[in-house]
Amino acid sequence: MPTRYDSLHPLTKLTWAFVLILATYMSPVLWLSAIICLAALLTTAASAQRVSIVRVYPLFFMPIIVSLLLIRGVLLPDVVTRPITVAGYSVSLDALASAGLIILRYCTLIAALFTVIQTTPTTQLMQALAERGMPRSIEYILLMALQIIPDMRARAAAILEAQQSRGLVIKSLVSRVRALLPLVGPLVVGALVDIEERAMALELRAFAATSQPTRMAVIVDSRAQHIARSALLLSAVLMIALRIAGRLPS
Amino acid sequence: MNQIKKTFANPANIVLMALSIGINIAVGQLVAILKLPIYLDSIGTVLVGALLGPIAGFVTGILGTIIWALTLNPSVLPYAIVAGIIGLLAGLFGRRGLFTSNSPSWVGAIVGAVFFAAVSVFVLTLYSFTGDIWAIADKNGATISIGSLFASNQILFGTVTLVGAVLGFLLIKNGGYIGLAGIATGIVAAAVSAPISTYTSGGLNGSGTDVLVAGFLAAGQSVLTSTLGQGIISDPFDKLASFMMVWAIINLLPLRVRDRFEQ
Repeated sequence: MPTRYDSLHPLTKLTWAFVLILATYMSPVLWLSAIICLAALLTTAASAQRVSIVRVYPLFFMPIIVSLLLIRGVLLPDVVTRPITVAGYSVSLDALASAGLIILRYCTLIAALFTVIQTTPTTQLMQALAERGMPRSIEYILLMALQIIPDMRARAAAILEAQQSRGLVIKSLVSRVRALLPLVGPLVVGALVDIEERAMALELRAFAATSQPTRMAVIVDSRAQHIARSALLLSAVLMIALRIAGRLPS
Repeated sequence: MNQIKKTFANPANIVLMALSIGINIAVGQLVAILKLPIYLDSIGTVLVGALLGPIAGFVTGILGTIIWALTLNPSVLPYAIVAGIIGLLAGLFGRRGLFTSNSPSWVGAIVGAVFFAAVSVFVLTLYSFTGDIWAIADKNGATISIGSLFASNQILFGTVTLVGAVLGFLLIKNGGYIGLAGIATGIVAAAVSAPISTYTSGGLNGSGTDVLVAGFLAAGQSVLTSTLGQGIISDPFDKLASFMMVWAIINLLPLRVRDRFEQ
């Protein structure tokens, strides 16, 4: 069951994510970035797919959190002020805070983008962008690439099996380096051979037509969302202007 | 402008750009299966640059990163511009005919030797000086210091340069020119991605390369310099391999196929 967040116009979701990310990178202090990160996580929570989305977060967040805390926070801090002792080890509070700020910003970046990606079908996102003037060729490239990827991966796996059946050995580093060209070569050449057929398919579907294509799907927008987007964009401009004017310390 | 319009109005070019994005991801998968310490995830982008020119290469790099973010990991999105620049440079080198020209083998050996020597000087410089390397360069002390580095590490430099020459002769073979283009692209890519990485994630990304960054930080370098150091070590190798792979493939293509594309 899609929630209200899920059924928002794709551009509304995208603008909201953009403003969250901009805000956290403009924010000079830990607590403000923490609030913005919370807002990003609440956005995830507002979606019907929150469980499946949140389940992936540890994979995205944990390696970099550990890395940042360990390297920038504890082992090689750029500041050593306000030391505290944890389990007999002296740690700087300020270094932890500066690592924490980077972590919060990074988590906001991932959470905001990932939520939009997971809750918006790519075709809808492309349609929304195309309706705002994105060239159709760009839309074609992106959608075609998305459809081709599973095909290409299957082809890569098939080439690997075919070469192995011919006696390709993947063991030592030298043999693995040597295996590269016999694997990548056929993949690329096979793709190039495919071009003709796929290009003809595109042409037969009126790629070169100059009139605007009609769409089967209609993306619902509302006046309220339009106003919200304008307000969000205005706040983004304001944040950048304030930052340039030096009102927000870095 | 008209040329760009023409490029994007041709369905075959659109298909090539989309396929190249798929190639980037499929080759990334093959490299993971082979457990090689490189990415090679820009082969498709380089291919488009080589065949269709700099603008198409640039666009493919950007769109490829968007697809990567949509399907695998959104954290790559800030690096879209880096992928774009790689495609752009591949296109500019392609325009000069580098993807279709062979060099004598000794050029490959020289490229390998110079590259290895340069990387070792760079790494030793970062490790040997405490304080910011750029500040030292400003005081005009850098040349003298690098000279003394050479003097105290003669055997090391000699060995590294020799290894580079042998590897260059054996692996780069006739691709000396394109190898050089790949190395140059790798250095530019490292220089562009270092500030992005520093700003978005403090120079770290939670992968194995963080150890390199930590090493430079421990030697007293700033975050930006450390990130750049890590990039200068891993990126040129990667782009060298990508450019050479595309060069080899383009030379394998039948003329009938190759001639269909614009450059």
